[in-house]
Amino acid sequence: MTERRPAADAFAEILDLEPDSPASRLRADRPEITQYAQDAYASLLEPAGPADLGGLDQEERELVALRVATLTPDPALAAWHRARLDRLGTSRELTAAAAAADPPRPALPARLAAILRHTDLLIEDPAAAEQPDLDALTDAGLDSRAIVTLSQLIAFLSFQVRVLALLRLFPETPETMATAKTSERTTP
Amino acid sequence: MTTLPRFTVTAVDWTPWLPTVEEVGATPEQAALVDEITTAPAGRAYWATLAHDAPVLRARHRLFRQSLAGSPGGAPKSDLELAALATSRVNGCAYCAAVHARAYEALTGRTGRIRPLLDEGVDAPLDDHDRALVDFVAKLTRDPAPLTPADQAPHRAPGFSDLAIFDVAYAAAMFAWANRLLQTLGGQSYGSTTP
Repeated sequence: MTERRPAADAFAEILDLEPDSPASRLRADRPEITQYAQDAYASLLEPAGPADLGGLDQEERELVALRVATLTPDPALAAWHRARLDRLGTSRELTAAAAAADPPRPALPARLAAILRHTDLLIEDPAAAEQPDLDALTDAGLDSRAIVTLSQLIAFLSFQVRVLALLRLFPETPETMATAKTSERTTP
Repeated sequence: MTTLPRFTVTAVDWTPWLPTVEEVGATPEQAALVDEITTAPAGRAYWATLAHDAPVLRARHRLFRQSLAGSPGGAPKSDLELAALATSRVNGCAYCAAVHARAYEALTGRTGRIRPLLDEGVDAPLDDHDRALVDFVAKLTRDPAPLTPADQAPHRAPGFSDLAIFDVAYAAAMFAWANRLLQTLGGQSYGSTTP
């Protein structure tokens, strides 16, 4: 068990990026977007306090994130959220449900089952979302703010897994280091 | 997969499925944030829905604006709009596709050039530059997990630096986010005139 501390740069820590790797150099060339992405991560996954949590608690947020990482799949992101769930003391049953290949089972608490079902829908077939899907969240006890927060969280995670995939396109290997020298990379 | 909606360059209407903060009584923080983001009535309901979680909206909106702003040495703004359009076409967000099709046409002056992309989808005939960009964006949008460094499709076409690929992918990732918000928080409809 390690003490929880806010991530200074979650994207770099999840990927274990070296500061001088090709991906890190590209991020350094785009300081605003890199900082704003971290701020967005912090607003959803490291809210400052109870007022910022609203109606979606930290454990629910971590379980949604683990679910998205499982569905994508992004094993590094899944490991990141498993570790955070361990630190929260979340039960193995709930963690296993979020990380299961199957859709959420009815045996879960109704509120969590509804949250994970909505996660599956928005990740796998966003064009299928309809008003009754939001009604199901309301029926499970989520108010308007919690529904907006949940939607932002799932949608942020679908952004994050793509940024992580982008950064993995520029790994630090002898081969890509050789390629980098002959690429058309320009400096502002 | 669900049948996708009709795609058009004409503005699509969006109606929230939740009461907006303005309908339930906005806090001063929420009201100020919505006013800061938009002064136009068109689109206001979207921001006034997201304002239920003001800290998240504030952080996200800066990132959203920056992802389409364009920066020196990278992709031109028209390529960022094309990435937003292609992502929205794959995900099936007609509202976003229309907004960014119009932005693309305004930036390039090339009216009609991207209409086949709206009508036929991302496999529509395109020139080499757009083909490379759209193929890369479609892969990232549909399934990011199997992407490998060998998939840097835009490298096949001239004019894509590593930073341009970075910018294009960031814009596409931002629309993986934006499309889902529009699609889950409200309904889209056609017909009314654009303000």
